[in-house]
Amino acid sequence: MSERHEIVELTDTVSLGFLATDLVLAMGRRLRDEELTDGDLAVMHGGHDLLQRLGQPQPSLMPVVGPRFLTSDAVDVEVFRAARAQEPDEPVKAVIGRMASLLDRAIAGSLEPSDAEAAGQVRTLFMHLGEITLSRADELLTNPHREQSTWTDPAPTSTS
Amino acid sequence: MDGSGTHIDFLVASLDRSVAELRRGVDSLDAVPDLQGTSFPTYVRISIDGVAGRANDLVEEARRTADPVDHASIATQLRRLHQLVSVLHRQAGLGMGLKTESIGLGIVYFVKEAADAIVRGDSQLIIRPDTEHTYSSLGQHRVFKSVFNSVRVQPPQGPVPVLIQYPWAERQSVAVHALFLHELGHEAAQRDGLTDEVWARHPDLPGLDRRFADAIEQIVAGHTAAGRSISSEEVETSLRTQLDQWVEELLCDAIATAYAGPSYLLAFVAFLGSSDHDVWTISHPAFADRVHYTLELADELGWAAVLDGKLGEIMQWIRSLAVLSVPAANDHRGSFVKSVIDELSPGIRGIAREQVGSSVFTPAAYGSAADEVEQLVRDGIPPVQLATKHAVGRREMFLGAWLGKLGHSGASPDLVPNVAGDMTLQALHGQALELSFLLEDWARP
Repeated sequence: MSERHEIVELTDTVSLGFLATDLVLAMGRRLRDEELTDGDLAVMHGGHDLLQRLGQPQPSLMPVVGPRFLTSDAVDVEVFRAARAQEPDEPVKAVIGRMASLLDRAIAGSLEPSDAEAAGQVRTLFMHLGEITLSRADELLTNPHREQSTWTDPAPTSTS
Repeated sequence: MDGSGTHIDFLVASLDRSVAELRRGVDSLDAVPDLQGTSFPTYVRISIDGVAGRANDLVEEARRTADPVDHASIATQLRRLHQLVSVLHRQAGLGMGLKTESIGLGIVYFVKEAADAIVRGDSQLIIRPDTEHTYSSLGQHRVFKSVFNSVRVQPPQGPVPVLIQYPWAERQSVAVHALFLHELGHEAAQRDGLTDEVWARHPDLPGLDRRFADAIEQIVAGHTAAGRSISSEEVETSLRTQLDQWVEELLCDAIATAYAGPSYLLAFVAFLGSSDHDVWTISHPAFADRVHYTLELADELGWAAVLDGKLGEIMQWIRSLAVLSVPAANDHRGSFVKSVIDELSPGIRGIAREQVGSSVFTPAAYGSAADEVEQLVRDGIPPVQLATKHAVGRREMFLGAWLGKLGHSGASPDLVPNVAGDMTLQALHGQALELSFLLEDWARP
């Protein structure tokens, strides 16, 4: 991995971590029916957009719409990892999609009492994501890793 | 006070200490008289202020809430602020290593001139030697965007620092320094979202997405058949990473070629030609593929006649290197990536030409000075001034140095690295670069 890729991955990971943990705090306020600040709502929108993009059932190479800093592929991996750890027996994109819908309702202030458990799960997901990104950033700060040099495909690497 | 409160207090006190140390370190840069990139300490200082501000907000929040999850989250955010201080420490350290320019002034002016043409918006270039034997850019625009977002501060007014590194031992290898242009391409690509623009020009994005899904399925099946477990999301993410990185690399090659013409190709071959031509990594296409696409743009810009005419045997050899590698039949990943890159290549060339705009270097622009510059090089005279009394342009100088030395019958491929390694020529070239800027400056009314 080049120095540039490494520093970009590091700062994107830290940035995602801030978002994730801020979202835990904002969701806590929402669940306690406290007034949300503009900052809380911005964080919830950021989390929602991220989950909505990653929860799309069909993979896409279309250009990403929205702020680029949260679209790093390294960041995507962390979100998938956190969701899979939380619901290991369910397709990960379905878990993420469900949480995006819940966040949408939380932003609109239309959570029902029956949503309490699911809202707690969203909070747990972002808490877990906050912890994963903290460890990952530590790893990048202390042990810069080498780049994978060949395909991960089982086929032999090809030469012309 | 309970345990979590004490823990938060400790994290805050520790953060205060780190922030104060870093602030003192950055302030010491003010005393450096010949510091490159004065915008750099400003960027770090604003980030440090943001870290301190966020720490204060978190302390306030800890006082307001009794929720243990909130307290754990606040402690996590404080630890993350510590990480950000470490990141800033690293970035500031890069700035502090730059007290003097160890590279020739002519090259510094050349890179600044090229940055004005390639990178949109105001930039402040910082050029520094690196211990790695490679050229690199450190993506400060992208890095600080992320940092500022994390600590909720606005970027400062004024130029954005652009940090580019060169291999320290190559300080005097002027011909090879055309590779700086590739690094400027990275800055342009990241600042202007150029890879997204390349994707948007694919002729059939919905069809491409269907093929993307098929490729993921085939790759996962291949792993499963080999007894390895991999999720479709992992494959999707790593394929997207690879494609994005390859597009950016090829775009940077194209931007450098659009700006400098064949001097970039020759510098690239001289610097990297001894590497394995068919080996790719997740971040970089194979050397052969990069030469292929670089030549494609050079030919599109009309350089084929000049190059094939003046560098017969050398160009035959370079063209023989530029054969795209063909993935094995069962290499689903390789087949998909390479086919997509080929489909995107017209868009890559188009975006590169648009980015460089009116500064694209063409054979017509070179033609008027070509014979004179090449003859001066052959005579061992710094090609600074034309018979018209005008200063020789920098791109003309770069290309003239190559063609003046390589453009004779019997010139063979081994002369390419020999020219790059001819220190008498490189000194002449470096001197000419510097003098041509001076001449232009004197000629200004």
